[in-house]
This record gives sequence, C-alpha cells and structure tokens, in this order.
Amino acid sequence: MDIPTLAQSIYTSSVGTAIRESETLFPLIESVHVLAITLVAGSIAVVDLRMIGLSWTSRPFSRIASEVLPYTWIAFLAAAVTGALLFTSHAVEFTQNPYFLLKMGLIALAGLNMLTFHFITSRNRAAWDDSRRPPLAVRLSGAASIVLWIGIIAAGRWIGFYLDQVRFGG
Amino acid sequence: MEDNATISALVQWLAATRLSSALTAWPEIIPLLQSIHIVCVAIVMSSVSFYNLRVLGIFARQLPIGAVAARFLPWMWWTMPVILTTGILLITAEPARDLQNSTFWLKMLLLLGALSLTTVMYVGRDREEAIRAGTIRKPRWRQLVAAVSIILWIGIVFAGRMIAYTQNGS
Repeated sequence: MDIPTLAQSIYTSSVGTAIRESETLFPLIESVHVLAITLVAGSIAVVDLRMIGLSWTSRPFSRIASEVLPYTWIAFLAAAVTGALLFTSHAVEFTQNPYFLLKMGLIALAGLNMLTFHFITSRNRAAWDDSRRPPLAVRLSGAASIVLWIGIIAAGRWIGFYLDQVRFGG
Repeated sequence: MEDNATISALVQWLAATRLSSALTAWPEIIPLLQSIHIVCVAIVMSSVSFYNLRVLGIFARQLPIGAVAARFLPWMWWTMPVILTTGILLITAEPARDLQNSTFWLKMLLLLGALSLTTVMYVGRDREEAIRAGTIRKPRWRQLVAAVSIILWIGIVFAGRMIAYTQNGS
C-alpha cells in the first residue's frame, strides 16, 4: 500500500472520522498535545543544559538524568498518542504538509541524537559525570537537542499556519 | 467582554497602530512570535512543574525545596517578560482575536492566580529550612497550593490553545 492510499484509509477510519466530525475533540486533543510537547521540550532542556555545563552543574549528570527523564518519557508518550490521534483526523492533508514532514524529520534527528549519546558518547560517563564542563561531544549533543526541540515546536506551530494558508488562502 | 465598549475602543485603537500594521505586513511574523511564546511556555511549564512536584514530595525528594526553587524559579521569572512581550505583540497584531474573546480573559485570570500562588510559595520558602530542621511542623497548605498551581498552569496552556477556536465569528 502506498502512502496516499494509507493516508486515505487512516482519514476514513472511525477514529479519524470521529475526531474530524466532532466540534470539540480536535481542540481538546491538540491542547493536551501542546501541553505534552512543552513538558517534553522543557524537561529535556534541564538535562541538555547540564550536559552543556550551563545549569545545575553542582549535581552529577546521571542524578539529574535519572530524576528528570522519566517525566520526559511520560510527556513524550502523551505527545505521541495525541499527535497520532490528530494525524488520523486530517491524514491526507498532513502527509502533504511540508512542516509536518519537517517536524517528523526533526523528531527523528532528536531520536538519533539521543541514541548516539546513549550508546556511544556516554560510554565514558563515569569520567565526566561530576564535571562542571563535560567533554565537547557531550556539550554538542546537549546543544543539538535544545536546537532540535525548539525546531520541533516551531515546525508544529507552522503546520497549523500552513493549513490555514492552504484552506483560507492566507 | 465581547460587547464591552471600552474593549471595542481599545481593539480599534490597537488595530490602527503602526505596530499592528507592521506585525501583520508579513504573515510569517505571527507564527514566529507564537513559536517563541510556546518555547517560553515550555520553559515556564517545566520549571513550575518540577518545583511544585518537589513541594508535593514527588520530584528530587533528597534535595531541599529551597535548592529546587533556586534551580527552577529564576527560569520562570526570567522567561515571563519574554512571554508577556510576545503575548502583547500578538494581541497588537490581532487585537479582536484575543481581547474580544472570553477564553483569553479566562487565561489571564488563571495566569494571575498561578503567579500569585507561586509568589506566595516563594515568599514562604525560608520556612523550609526550619521545617527540615524540625523546628516547625510542615504546613499541609503548601502541598495544596502546589497541586492547585499545577492545575492552574495546565489550564493556562489549554486556554491558550483554545483561544484560536473561540474567536468571534469563526
């Protein structure tokens, strides 16, 4: 099945139809989505700023990561579920929206950055866990995460802006 | 609020200002300001959430409340001016969208409540040391205030997103 056919069947699914035809479901799910995204970006920034060596440097990196990241994951799960629900309601339009594709690409890059850090960069974590200024690779990974999440928020806002431009001609 | 003559006059005056024309001269200015606004909301939401979760005894329990407040509350206070500036610019660009919208005024009311509660908690933070030292008993009201604060901040994000759906004549 190709992407347009798949998007069309998601669009006509009962979930997609229910959200699209309801007056209140889309705005409510979208509000939860925005709330979840703000908590993902804001909480991960706490860890990123520690990796860069800008904030909470008096505490070991691993301590902050283990305290903060569970909240990031809960919020990310909420963002992913609500995002998927929003997608079903206008699946065809979203797959044709350049900012939606940009947002998905940026999320993939943020995931890749996280995996690279987790499996490669942080292998010598014990050597810099207490350091107020972690090694360059760690600082770069933290900075990349902050930039990517700001990009994800902006791309997300632009998805709606682009939809309005297409629907109402700006 | 929608029928208030003073508000109508303010909306007309704002819409006629040079700043309002400048902000609407290029359609991308509004999503750009909204993106900056949401990034700042991410910082504030995460900061107040971690602080309030610490007061509730859920987050970073081994740290004194004062240490968690020192890490997170300055981020909230320093981000608020950017939120207010981008918010005022967005109102200036499209005054009727916000000022003649009851959801916007609900958001302002919730914001006033949330900021007041955070201030009350912050002013009383010195008592934390005495509580830890066992000199005085931990007051339960602080936990109640923390729980109410979290609910108010969630309400602010919801109302903020719902403004787009409750505009007059849309």
